[in-house]
Amino acid sequence: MPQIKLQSSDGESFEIDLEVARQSVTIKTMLEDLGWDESDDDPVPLPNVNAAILKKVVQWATFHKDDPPPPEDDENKEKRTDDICTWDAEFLKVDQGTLFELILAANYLDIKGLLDVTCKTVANMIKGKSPEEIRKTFNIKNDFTPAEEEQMMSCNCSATME
Amino acid sequence: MDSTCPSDIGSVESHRQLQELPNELIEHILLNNCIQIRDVCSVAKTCKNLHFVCQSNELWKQKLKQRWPKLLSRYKRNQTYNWHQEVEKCYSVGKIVRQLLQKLSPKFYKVEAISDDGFRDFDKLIDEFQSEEIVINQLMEVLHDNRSHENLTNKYYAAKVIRYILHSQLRKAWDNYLELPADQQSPEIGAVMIAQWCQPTVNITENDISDQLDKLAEETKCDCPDTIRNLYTKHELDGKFPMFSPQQERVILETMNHVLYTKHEFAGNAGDYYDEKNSYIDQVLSRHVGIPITLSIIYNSVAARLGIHLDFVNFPGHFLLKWKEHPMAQMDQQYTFIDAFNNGRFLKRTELASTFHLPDEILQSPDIFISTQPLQLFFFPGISKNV
Repeated sequence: MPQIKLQSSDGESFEIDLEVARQSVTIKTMLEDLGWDESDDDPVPLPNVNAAILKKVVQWATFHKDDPPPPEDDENKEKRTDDICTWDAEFLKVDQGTLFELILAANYLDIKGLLDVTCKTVANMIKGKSPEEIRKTFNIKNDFTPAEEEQMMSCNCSATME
Repeated sequence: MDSTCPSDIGSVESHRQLQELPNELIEHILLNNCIQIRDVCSVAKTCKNLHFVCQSNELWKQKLKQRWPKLLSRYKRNQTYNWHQEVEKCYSVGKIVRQLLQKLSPKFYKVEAISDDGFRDFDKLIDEFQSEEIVINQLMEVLHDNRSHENLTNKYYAAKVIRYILHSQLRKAWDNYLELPADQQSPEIGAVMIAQWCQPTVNITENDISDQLDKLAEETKCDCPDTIRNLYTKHELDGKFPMFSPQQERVILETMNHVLYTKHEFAGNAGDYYDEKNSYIDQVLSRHVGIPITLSIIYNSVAARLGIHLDFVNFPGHFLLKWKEHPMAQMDQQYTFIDAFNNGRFLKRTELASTFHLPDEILQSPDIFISTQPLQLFFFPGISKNV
Protein backbone atom coordinates (compact mmCIF):
# COMPACT_ATOMS: atom_id res chain seq x y z
CA MET A 1 0.00 0.00 0.00
CA PRO A 2 1.39 3.44 -0.91
CA GLN A 3 2.64 5.52 1.96
CA ILE A 4 2.76 9.22 2.46
CA LYS A 5 4.76 11.45 4.78
CA LEU A 6 3.07 14.15 6.84
CA GLN A 7 4.98 16.76 8.75
CA SER A 8 3.54 18.35 11.88
CA SER A 9 3.93 22.00 12.84
CA ASP A 10 6.74 21.09 15.24
CA GLY A 11 8.67 19.29 12.52
CA GLU A 12 7.93 15.65 13.31
CA SER A 13 7.36 13.35 10.30
CA PHE A 14 4.71 10.64 10.13
CA GLU A 15 4.61 7.96 7.50
CA ILE A 16 1.08 6.67 7.03
CA ASP A 17 -1.04 4.81 4.47
CA LEU A 18 -2.27 6.99 1.67
CA GLU A 19 -5.80 5.65 2.16
CA VAL A 20 -5.78 6.79 5.79
CA ALA A 21 -4.49 10.24 4.88
CA ARG A 22 -7.08 10.72 2.19
CA GLN A 23 -9.88 10.83 4.76
CA SER A 24 -8.74 14.39 5.23
CA VAL A 25 -10.32 16.38 2.42
CA THR A 26 -7.62 19.02 2.91
CA ILE A 27 -4.81 16.53 2.32
CA LYS A 28 -6.69 14.85 -0.50
CA THR A 29 -7.16 18.14 -2.36
CA MET A 30 -3.59 19.15 -1.65
CA LEU A 31 -2.27 15.93 -3.19
CA GLU A 32 -4.48 16.33 -6.24
CA ASP A 33 -3.40 19.94 -6.70
CA LEU A 34 0.23 19.03 -6.33
CA GLY A 35 -0.04 16.11 -8.71
CA TRP A 36 1.46 13.90 -6.03
CA ASP A 37 2.62 10.41 -6.96
CA GLU A 38 4.11 7.52 -5.03
CA SER A 39 7.67 8.38 -5.92
CA ASP A 40 7.34 11.72 -4.13
CA ASP A 41 9.31 11.64 -0.96
CA ASP A 42 8.67 15.18 0.25
CA PRO A 43 6.56 15.33 3.39
CA VAL A 44 3.24 17.19 3.23
CA PRO A 45 3.52 20.10 5.67
CA LEU A 46 0.64 20.59 8.09
CA PRO A 47 1.53 23.89 9.78
CA ASN A 48 -1.62 23.97 11.94
CA VAL A 49 -1.32 20.60 13.68
CA ASN A 50 1.33 19.65 16.22
CA ALA A 51 2.82 16.17 16.55
CA ALA A 52 0.83 15.10 19.61
CA ILE A 53 -2.51 15.96 18.02
CA LEU A 54 -1.53 14.63 14.61
CA LYS A 55 -0.69 11.33 16.27
CA LYS A 56 -4.20 11.13 17.69
CA VAL A 57 -5.81 12.17 14.42
CA VAL A 58 -3.86 9.47 12.58
CA GLN A 59 -4.92 6.94 15.19
CA TRP A 60 -8.56 7.90 14.70
CA ALA A 61 -8.31 7.88 10.91
CA THR A 62 -6.58 4.48 10.91
CA PHE A 63 -9.37 2.93 12.93
CA HIS A 64 -12.04 4.50 10.72
CA LYS A 65 -10.37 3.94 7.34
CA ASP A 66 -13.01 1.45 6.19
CA ASP A 67 -16.02 3.52 7.22
CA PRO A 68 -18.49 4.34 4.48
CA PRO A 69 -18.15 7.95 3.33
CA PRO A 70 -20.28 10.37 5.37
CA PRO A 71 -23.62 11.18 3.76
CA GLU A 72 -23.97 14.51 1.99
CA ASP A 73 -25.90 17.14 3.87
CA ASP A 74 -29.36 17.38 2.47
CA GLU A 75 -31.91 20.11 3.13
CA ASN A 76 -34.72 17.62 3.38
CA LYS A 77 -33.06 14.92 5.36
CA GLU A 78 -32.93 14.77 9.08
CA LYS A 79 -29.43 15.19 10.38
CA ARG A 80 -28.32 11.83 11.69
CA THR A 81 -27.10 11.70 15.22
CA ASP A 82 -25.61 8.31 15.49
CA ASP A 83 -24.48 7.69 18.98
CA ILE A 84 -20.81 7.82 19.60
CA CYS A 85 -19.37 4.32 19.15
CA THR A 86 -17.53 2.73 22.06
CA TRP A 87 -14.14 3.03 20.42
CA ASP A 88 -14.64 6.77 19.82
CA ALA A 89 -15.97 7.30 23.34
CA GLU A 90 -12.85 5.64 24.72
CA PHE A 91 -10.66 7.59 22.28
CA LEU A 92 -12.20 10.88 23.39
CA LYS A 93 -11.66 10.31 27.10
CA VAL A 94 -9.24 13.21 27.15
CA ASP A 95 -9.06 16.58 28.84
CA GLN A 96 -10.91 19.53 27.36
CA GLY A 97 -7.74 21.11 25.95
CA THR A 98 -7.06 18.01 23.85
CA LEU A 99 -10.68 17.79 22.78
CA PHE A 100 -10.67 21.36 21.49
CA GLU A 101 -7.33 20.81 19.75
CA LEU A 102 -8.88 17.81 18.01
CA ILE A 103 -11.87 19.89 16.91
CA LEU A 104 -9.52 22.50 15.44
CA ALA A 105 -7.43 19.84 13.72
CA ALA A 106 -10.48 18.01 12.34
CA ASN A 107 -11.80 21.31 11.04
CA TYR A 108 -8.47 22.29 9.46
CA LEU A 109 -7.91 18.86 7.95
CA ASP A 110 -11.58 18.67 6.97
CA ILE A 111 -12.37 15.23 8.39
CA LYS A 112 -16.11 15.29 8.79
CA GLY A 113 -16.45 12.17 10.90
CA LEU A 114 -13.92 13.30 13.47
CA LEU A 115 -15.38 16.81 13.59
CA ASP A 116 -18.89 15.45 14.15
CA VAL A 117 -17.92 13.09 16.92
CA THR A 118 -15.77 15.64 18.77
CA CYS A 119 -18.43 18.33 18.50
CA LYS A 120 -21.05 15.91 19.72
CA THR A 121 -18.88 15.12 22.72
CA VAL A 122 -18.76 18.81 23.62
CA ALA A 123 -22.50 19.16 22.95
CA ASN A 124 -23.12 16.34 25.43
CA MET A 125 -21.18 18.31 28.02
CA ILE A 126 -23.46 21.33 27.48
CA LYS A 127 -26.90 19.78 27.32
CA GLY A 128 -29.23 20.10 30.27
CA LYS A 129 -26.96 22.48 32.18
CA SER A 130 -27.79 25.90 33.60
CA PRO A 131 -25.75 28.93 32.47
CA GLU A 132 -23.80 28.82 35.73
CA GLU A 133 -23.02 25.11 35.31
CA ILE A 134 -21.87 25.70 31.74
CA ARG A 135 -19.55 28.49 32.92
CA LYS A 136 -18.09 26.16 35.52
CA THR A 137 -17.65 23.26 33.09
CA PHE A 138 -15.81 25.32 30.51
CA ASN A 139 -14.20 27.85 32.76
CA ILE A 140 -16.08 30.74 31.15
CA LYS A 141 -15.87 34.17 32.72
CA ASN A 142 -19.15 36.00 33.09
CA ASP A 143 -18.42 39.33 31.41
CA PHE A 144 -21.92 40.75 31.43
CA THR A 145 -22.51 43.96 33.33
CA PRO A 146 -25.17 43.66 36.03
CA ALA A 147 -27.45 45.76 33.86
CA GLU A 148 -27.04 43.43 30.88
CA GLU A 149 -27.66 40.45 33.08
CA GLU A 150 -30.79 42.04 34.43
CA GLN A 151 -31.99 42.63 30.91
CA MET A 152 -31.30 39.06 29.93
CA MET A 153 -33.23 37.66 32.86
CA SER A 154 -36.26 39.64 31.80
CA CYS A 155 -35.90 38.74 28.12
CA ASN A 156 -38.77 36.64 26.97
CA CYS A 157 -36.91 33.49 26.22
CA SER A 158 -40.03 31.42 26.65
CA ALA A 159 -38.09 28.32 25.66
CA THR A 160 -36.49 28.18 29.07
CA MET A 161 -39.88 28.04 30.71
CA GLU A 162 -41.10 24.94 28.94
CA MET B 1 -10.34 -4.37 14.67
CA ASP B 2 -7.43 -2.18 15.46
CA SER B 3 -5.65 -3.58 18.45
CA THR B 4 -4.33 -0.26 19.72
CA CYS B 5 -6.29 0.73 22.75
CA PRO B 6 -7.42 4.29 22.09
CA SER B 7 -6.38 5.47 25.51
CA ASP B 8 -2.78 4.48 24.83
CA ILE B 9 -2.20 8.00 23.74
CA GLY B 10 -4.30 10.02 26.14
CA SER B 11 -4.42 13.71 26.56
CA VAL B 12 -1.75 15.95 25.20
CA GLU B 13 -0.50 19.06 26.92
CA SER B 14 -2.96 21.74 25.92
CA HIS B 15 -4.88 24.40 27.74
CA ARG B 16 -7.11 25.39 24.93
CA GLN B 17 -10.55 26.57 25.94
CA LEU B 18 -13.98 26.51 24.38
CA GLN B 19 -14.00 30.28 23.91
CA GLU B 20 -10.84 30.06 21.81
CA LEU B 21 -12.60 28.10 19.10
CA PRO B 22 -13.70 30.17 16.11
CA ASN B 23 -17.36 31.12 16.33
CA GLU B 24 -18.38 28.92 13.43
CA LEU B 25 -17.05 25.87 15.27
CA ILE B 26 -18.92 26.78 18.43
CA GLU B 27 -22.00 27.14 16.28
CA HIS B 28 -21.29 23.74 14.77
CA ILE B 29 -21.28 22.27 18.28
CA LEU B 30 -24.58 23.96 19.11
CA LEU B 31 -26.15 22.72 15.87
CA ASN B 32 -25.91 19.16 17.14
CA ASN B 33 -29.41 17.98 17.78
CA CYS B 34 -28.75 16.86 21.33
CA ILE B 35 -28.58 20.60 22.08
CA GLN B 36 -32.13 21.70 22.68
CA ILE B 37 -33.53 25.19 22.38
CA ARG B 38 -33.34 25.72 26.11
CA ASP B 39 -29.65 24.71 26.05
CA VAL B 40 -28.97 27.39 23.43
CA CYS B 41 -30.67 29.91 25.73
CA SER B 42 -28.48 28.77 28.63
CA VAL B 43 -25.32 29.05 26.56
CA ALA B 44 -26.34 32.56 25.44
CA LYS B 45 -26.49 33.62 29.09
CA THR B 46 -22.94 32.59 29.98
CA CYS B 47 -20.87 35.36 28.41
CA LYS B 48 -20.90 38.07 25.76
CA ASN B 49 -19.19 36.14 23.00
CA LEU B 50 -21.35 33.05 23.37
CA HIS B 51 -24.37 35.33 23.52
CA PHE B 52 -23.25 36.66 20.17
CA VAL B 53 -22.77 33.16 18.69
CA CYS B 54 -26.28 32.23 19.79
CA GLN B 55 -27.78 35.02 17.66
CA SER B 56 -26.99 33.08 14.48
CA ASN B 57 -30.05 32.92 12.28
CA GLU B 58 -29.01 29.57 10.80
CA LEU B 59 -28.66 28.10 14.30
CA TRP B 60 -32.27 29.03 15.14
CA LYS B 61 -33.50 27.71 11.84
CA GLN B 62 -31.90 24.33 12.56
CA LYS B 63 -33.26 24.33 16.11
CA LEU B 64 -36.77 24.98 14.82
CA LYS B 65 -36.30 22.18 12.33
CA GLN B 66 -35.08 19.78 15.00
CA ARG B 67 -37.85 20.67 17.43
CA TRP B 68 -40.75 20.87 14.97
CA PRO B 69 -39.62 19.07 11.82
CA LYS B 70 -43.05 19.22 10.23
CA LEU B 71 -43.37 22.97 10.57
CA LEU B 72 -40.51 23.80 8.27
CA SER B 73 -42.70 23.17 5.25
CA ARG B 74 -44.80 26.26 6.08
CA TYR B 75 -41.82 28.48 5.32
CA LYS B 76 -40.85 29.43 1.81
CA ARG B 77 -37.40 28.32 0.81
CA ASN B 78 -36.12 31.48 -0.79
CA GLN B 79 -37.42 33.92 1.79
CA THR B 80 -35.44 35.16 4.78
CA TYR B 81 -36.96 34.80 8.19
CA ASN B 82 -35.96 35.84 11.65
CA TRP B 83 -35.79 32.27 12.92
CA HIS B 84 -35.31 33.25 16.54
CA GLN B 85 -38.62 35.08 16.37
CA GLU B 86 -40.25 32.12 14.65
CA VAL B 87 -39.09 29.81 17.44
CA GLU B 88 -40.45 32.24 20.02
CA LYS B 89 -43.71 32.31 18.13
CA CYS B 90 -44.01 28.53 18.14
CA TYR B 91 -43.44 28.49 21.88
CA SER B 92 -45.95 31.25 22.56
CA VAL B 93 -48.58 29.59 20.41
CA GLY B 94 -47.90 26.26 22.11
CA LYS B 95 -48.36 27.80 25.52
CA ILE B 96 -51.64 29.48 24.59
CA VAL B 97 -52.91 26.30 22.94
CA ARG B 98 -52.33 24.37 26.15
CA GLN B 99 -54.04 27.05 28.22
CA LEU B 100 -57.05 27.16 25.92
CA LEU B 101 -57.31 23.38 26.00
CA GLN B 102 -57.42 23.38 29.79
CA LYS B 103 -60.39 25.71 29.67
CA LEU B 104 -62.47 23.52 27.38
CA SER B 105 -63.16 20.68 29.75
CA PRO B 106 -64.74 22.64 32.64
CA LYS B 107 -66.80 24.54 30.11
CA PHE B 108 -68.04 21.68 27.99
CA TYR B 109 -67.94 18.47 29.96
CA LYS B 110 -71.69 18.55 30.37
CA VAL B 111 -72.59 19.01 26.74
CA GLU B 112 -72.38 16.31 24.15
CA ALA B 113 -71.23 18.31 21.17
CA ILE B 114 -69.33 21.56 21.19
CA SER B 115 -70.73 24.22 18.91
CA ASP B 116 -68.38 26.13 16.64
CA ASP B 117 -68.57 29.01 19.10
CA GLY B 118 -66.69 26.92 21.59
CA PHE B 119 -63.65 27.01 19.34
CA ARG B 120 -63.66 30.75 18.64
CA ASP B 121 -60.63 31.31 20.86
CA PHE B 122 -58.61 29.05 18.59
CA ASP B 123 -59.78 30.95 15.51
CA LYS B 124 -58.59 34.16 17.14
CA LEU B 125 -55.25 32.60 17.99
CA ILE B 126 -54.80 31.46 14.40
CA ASP B 127 -55.67 34.91 13.07
CA GLU B 128 -53.40 36.63 15.51
CA PHE B 129 -50.34 34.56 14.69
CA GLN B 130 -51.23 33.63 11.09
CA SER B 131 -50.44 30.15 12.17
CA GLU B 132 -52.86 27.36 11.38
CA GLU B 133 -49.97 24.90 11.04
CA ILE B 134 -48.35 25.88 14.33
CA VAL B 135 -51.62 25.50 16.22
CA ILE B 136 -52.38 22.14 14.64
CA ASN B 137 -48.80 21.01 15.20
CA GLN B 138 -49.05 21.89 18.89
CA LEU B 139 -52.37 20.11 19.22
CA MET B 140 -50.90 17.05 17.52
CA GLU B 141 -48.07 17.17 20.03
CA VAL B 142 -50.59 17.06 22.85
CA LEU B 143 -52.42 14.22 21.15
CA HIS B 144 -49.42 12.08 20.25
CA ASP B 145 -47.21 12.52 23.30
CA ASN B 146 -46.12 8.88 23.60
CA ARG B 147 -47.94 8.54 26.91
CA SER B 148 -51.09 6.96 25.68
CA HIS B 149 -52.78 6.67 29.07
CA GLU B 150 -52.18 10.17 30.40
CA ASN B 151 -53.79 13.56 29.85
CA LEU B 152 -56.77 11.90 28.29
CA THR B 153 -59.06 14.87 28.80
CA ASN B 154 -56.67 17.20 27.02
CA LYS B 155 -56.23 14.70 24.25
CA TYR B 156 -59.95 14.30 23.85
CA TYR B 157 -60.39 18.02 23.39
CA ALA B 158 -57.23 18.38 21.29
CA ALA B 159 -58.70 15.91 18.79
CA LYS B 160 -61.93 17.89 18.68
CA VAL B 161 -60.13 21.17 18.09
CA ILE B 162 -57.96 19.65 15.38
CA ARG B 163 -61.05 18.38 13.63
CA TYR B 164 -62.71 21.77 13.90
CA ILE B 165 -59.70 23.68 12.51
CA LEU B 166 -58.97 21.18 9.79
CA HIS B 167 -62.57 21.03 8.66
CA SER B 168 -62.91 24.77 8.35
CA GLN B 169 -59.62 24.82 6.48
CA LEU B 170 -60.76 22.00 4.19
CA ARG B 171 -64.12 23.61 3.55
CA LYS B 172 -62.30 26.59 2.07
CA ALA B 173 -59.91 24.40 0.12
CA TRP B 174 -62.81 22.31 -1.17
CA ASP B 175 -64.67 25.42 -2.37
CA ASN B 176 -61.56 26.53 -4.24
CA TYR B 177 -61.22 23.08 -5.72
CA LEU B 178 -64.78 23.11 -6.99
CA GLU B 179 -64.20 26.42 -8.72
CA LEU B 180 -61.26 25.11 -10.73
CA PRO B 181 -61.85 24.18 -14.37
CA ALA B 182 -62.62 20.46 -14.61
CA ASP B 183 -59.29 19.55 -16.19
CA GLN B 184 -57.41 21.12 -13.31
CA GLN B 185 -59.26 19.29 -10.58
CA SER B 186 -56.62 16.74 -9.79
CA PRO B 187 -58.26 13.55 -8.52
CA GLU B 188 -55.19 12.98 -6.38
CA ILE B 189 -55.68 16.24 -4.49
CA GLY B 190 -59.38 15.57 -4.10
CA ALA B 191 -58.57 12.16 -2.64
CA VAL B 192 -56.11 13.73 -0.20
CA MET B 193 -58.78 16.16 0.98
CA ILE B 194 -61.24 13.33 1.56
CA ALA B 195 -58.62 11.40 3.53
CA GLN B 196 -57.81 14.49 5.59
CA TRP B 197 -61.44 15.27 6.27
CA CYS B 198 -62.25 11.80 7.51
CA GLN B 199 -59.06 11.33 9.53
CA PRO B 200 -58.37 14.77 10.98
CA THR B 201 -55.92 13.59 13.61
CA VAL B 202 -53.73 11.73 11.17
CA ASN B 203 -51.07 13.88 9.58
CA ILE B 204 -51.65 13.58 5.85
CA THR B 205 -50.04 16.00 3.43
CA GLU B 206 -50.35 16.43 -0.31
CA ASN B 207 -46.57 16.31 -0.50
CA ASP B 208 -46.30 12.96 1.29
CA ILE B 209 -48.88 11.37 -0.97
CA SER B 210 -47.33 12.91 -4.05
CA ASP B 211 -43.89 11.64 -3.02
CA GLN B 212 -45.20 8.10 -2.67
CA LEU B 213 -46.80 8.24 -6.11
CA ASP B 214 -43.59 9.71 -7.55
CA LYS B 215 -41.71 6.76 -6.15
CA LEU B 216 -44.02 4.25 -7.81
CA ALA B 217 -43.64 6.10 -11.12
CA GLU B 218 -39.85 6.20 -10.79
CA GLU B 219 -39.76 2.47 -10.09
CA THR B 220 -41.81 1.85 -13.19
CA LYS B 221 -39.44 3.96 -15.28
CA CYS B 222 -36.48 1.97 -13.94
CA ASP B 223 -38.19 -1.32 -14.77
CA CYS B 224 -39.08 -0.30 -18.31
CA PRO B 225 -37.03 -1.73 -21.19
CA ASP B 226 -33.95 0.34 -22.08
CA THR B 227 -35.48 1.91 -25.18
CA ILE B 228 -38.30 3.46 -23.17
CA ARG B 229 -36.18 4.29 -20.14
CA ASN B 230 -33.79 6.21 -22.35
CA LEU B 231 -36.67 8.22 -23.78
CA TYR B 232 -37.60 9.28 -20.24
CA THR B 233 -34.06 10.33 -19.33
CA LYS B 234 -33.68 12.18 -22.60
CA HIS B 235 -36.86 14.17 -22.08
CA GLU B 236 -36.40 14.74 -18.38
CA LEU B 237 -34.26 17.80 -19.03
CA ASP B 238 -36.89 19.81 -20.86
CA GLY B 239 -39.57 18.72 -18.40
CA LYS B 240 -41.85 17.37 -21.10
CA PHE B 241 -42.99 13.85 -21.79
CA PRO B 242 -41.99 12.00 -24.90
CA MET B 243 -44.80 11.11 -27.27
CA PHE B 244 -45.29 7.40 -26.94
CA SER B 245 -46.76 5.12 -29.54
CA PRO B 246 -49.69 2.95 -28.37
CA GLN B 247 -47.33 -0.04 -28.38
CA GLN B 248 -44.92 1.78 -26.10
CA GLU B 249 -47.76 2.87 -23.85
CA ARG B 250 -48.82 -0.73 -23.52
CA VAL B 251 -45.31 -1.74 -22.47
CA ILE B 252 -45.23 1.05 -19.89
CA LEU B 253 -48.64 0.13 -18.47
CA GLU B 254 -47.66 -3.54 -18.32
CA THR B 255 -44.47 -2.60 -16.46
CA MET B 256 -46.52 -0.43 -14.16
CA ASN B 257 -48.88 -3.34 -13.48
CA HIS B 258 -45.90 -5.44 -12.56
CA VAL B 259 -44.59 -2.78 -10.15
CA LEU B 260 -47.96 -2.09 -8.54
CA TYR B 261 -49.51 -5.51 -8.38
CA THR B 262 -46.62 -7.97 -8.32
CA LYS B 263 -43.83 -6.11 -6.60
CA HIS B 264 -45.90 -4.02 -4.19
CA GLU B 265 -48.86 -6.39 -4.12
CA PHE B 266 -51.53 -3.74 -4.46
CA ALA B 267 -54.91 -5.46 -4.57
CA GLY B 268 -58.60 -4.92 -4.39
CA ASN B 269 -59.78 -5.48 -0.86
CA ALA B 270 -62.46 -7.99 -1.78
CA GLY B 271 -62.35 -9.62 1.65
CA ASP B 272 -63.14 -6.46 3.56
CA TYR B 273 -64.63 -4.27 0.88
CA TYR B 274 -66.57 -1.96 3.18
CA ASP B 275 -63.68 -1.10 5.49
CA GLU B 276 -63.58 2.69 5.32
CA LYS B 277 -59.81 2.64 5.16
CA ASN B 278 -60.18 1.41 1.59
CA SER B 279 -61.49 4.87 0.72
CA TYR B 280 -58.57 6.90 2.02
CA ILE B 281 -55.67 7.33 -0.35
CA ASP B 282 -53.04 7.45 2.42
CA GLN B 283 -54.29 4.16 3.84
CA VAL B 284 -54.46 2.53 0.43
CA LEU B 285 -50.87 3.58 -0.22
CA SER B 286 -49.66 2.17 3.08
CA ARG B 287 -51.85 -0.96 3.24
CA HIS B 288 -51.81 -1.66 -0.50
CA VAL B 289 -55.48 -2.59 -0.55
CA GLY B 290 -58.40 -0.48 -1.67
CA ILE B 291 -61.65 -0.22 -3.56
CA PRO B 292 -61.98 0.45 -7.31
CA ILE B 293 -62.18 4.24 -6.98
CA THR B 294 -59.11 4.73 -4.80
CA LEU B 295 -57.08 2.18 -6.72
CA SER B 296 -58.14 3.86 -9.97
CA ILE B 297 -57.04 7.25 -8.66
CA ILE B 298 -53.66 5.86 -7.70
CA TYR B 299 -53.36 4.07 -11.03
CA ASN B 300 -54.31 7.20 -12.91
CA SER B 301 -51.92 9.40 -10.90
CA VAL B 302 -48.96 7.08 -11.48
CA ALA B 303 -49.80 6.76 -15.18
CA ALA B 304 -50.02 10.55 -15.48
CA ARG B 305 -46.53 10.81 -13.98
CA LEU B 306 -45.38 8.47 -16.73
CA GLY B 307 -46.95 10.64 -19.41
CA ILE B 308 -49.98 8.47 -20.10
CA HIS B 309 -53.45 9.95 -19.99
CA LEU B 310 -56.28 7.80 -18.70
CA ASP B 311 -59.93 8.63 -18.08
CA PHE B 312 -62.25 7.40 -15.39
CA VAL B 313 -65.38 5.47 -16.30
CA ASN B 314 -68.20 4.78 -13.92
CA PHE B 315 -69.12 1.43 -15.37
CA PRO B 316 -72.20 -0.13 -13.75
CA GLY B 317 -71.15 -1.91 -10.61
CA HIS B 318 -67.49 -1.35 -11.18
CA PHE B 319 -65.26 1.66 -11.46
CA LEU B 320 -62.77 1.48 -14.37
CA LEU B 321 -60.17 3.45 -16.25
CA LYS B 322 -60.11 3.79 -20.00
CA TRP B 323 -57.09 4.22 -22.20
CA LYS B 324 -57.18 5.34 -25.81
CA GLU B 325 -55.09 2.52 -27.21
CA HIS B 326 -56.35 2.73 -30.77
CA PRO B 327 -56.85 6.40 -31.61
CA MET B 328 -57.27 5.60 -35.31
CA ALA B 329 -59.98 2.98 -34.84
CA GLN B 330 -63.71 3.54 -34.94
CA MET B 331 -65.21 5.40 -32.03
CA ASP B 332 -66.41 2.34 -30.13
CA GLN B 333 -63.17 0.47 -30.58
CA GLN B 334 -60.68 3.13 -29.54
CA TYR B 335 -60.55 2.36 -25.88
CA THR B 336 -59.05 -0.38 -23.77
CA PHE B 337 -60.45 -0.58 -20.26
CA ILE B 338 -58.28 -1.06 -17.19
CA ASP B 339 -59.51 -2.64 -14.00
CA ALA B 340 -57.36 -1.20 -11.21
CA PHE B 341 -59.20 -3.33 -8.64
CA ASN B 342 -58.13 -6.54 -10.37
CA ASN B 343 -54.38 -6.27 -10.94
CA GLY B 344 -54.79 -3.66 -13.64
CA ARG B 345 -56.06 -6.16 -16.19
CA PHE B 346 -56.83 -4.84 -19.69
CA LEU B 347 -60.34 -5.43 -20.99
CA LYS B 348 -61.79 -4.93 -24.45
CA ARG B 349 -65.15 -3.28 -24.73
CA THR B 350 -66.69 -6.54 -25.85
CA GLU B 351 -65.40 -8.36 -22.78
CA LEU B 352 -66.94 -5.99 -20.27
CA ALA B 353 -70.42 -7.45 -20.05
CA SER B 354 -69.31 -11.02 -19.50
CA THR B 355 -66.53 -10.01 -17.08
CA PHE B 356 -68.90 -8.16 -14.81
CA HIS B 357 -71.85 -10.52 -15.34
CA LEU B 358 -74.02 -7.91 -16.97
CA PRO B 359 -76.51 -8.43 -19.79
CA ASP B 360 -75.05 -7.80 -23.24
CA GLU B 361 -77.63 -5.10 -23.96
CA ILE B 362 -75.92 -2.87 -21.47
CA LEU B 363 -73.21 -2.22 -24.03
CA GLN B 364 -75.79 -0.60 -26.26
CA SER B 365 -76.21 2.26 -23.86
CA PRO B 366 -73.53 4.79 -24.80
CA ASP B 367 -73.81 6.69 -21.48
CA ILE B 368 -71.92 4.11 -19.52
CA PHE B 369 -68.70 4.73 -21.39
CA ILE B 370 -68.60 8.49 -20.94
CA SER B 371 -65.58 9.61 -19.00
CA THR B 372 -66.30 10.79 -15.52
CA GLN B 373 -64.89 14.06 -14.22
CA PRO B 374 -62.73 13.53 -11.17
CA LEU B 375 -65.04 15.89 -9.30
CA GLN B 376 -67.93 13.54 -9.73
CA LEU B 377 -65.93 10.74 -8.26
CA PHE B 378 -66.32 12.23 -4.87
CA PHE B 379 -70.04 12.13 -4.99
CA PHE B 380 -70.07 8.40 -5.20
CA PRO B 381 -71.34 6.79 -2.06
CA GLY B 382 -68.33 4.51 -1.83
CA ILE B 383 -65.93 7.24 -1.09
CA SER B 384 -67.82 10.24 0.12
CA LYS B 385 -70.36 8.82 2.49
CA ASN B 386 -68.70 10.63 5.34
CA VAL B 387 -68.29 13.99 3.69
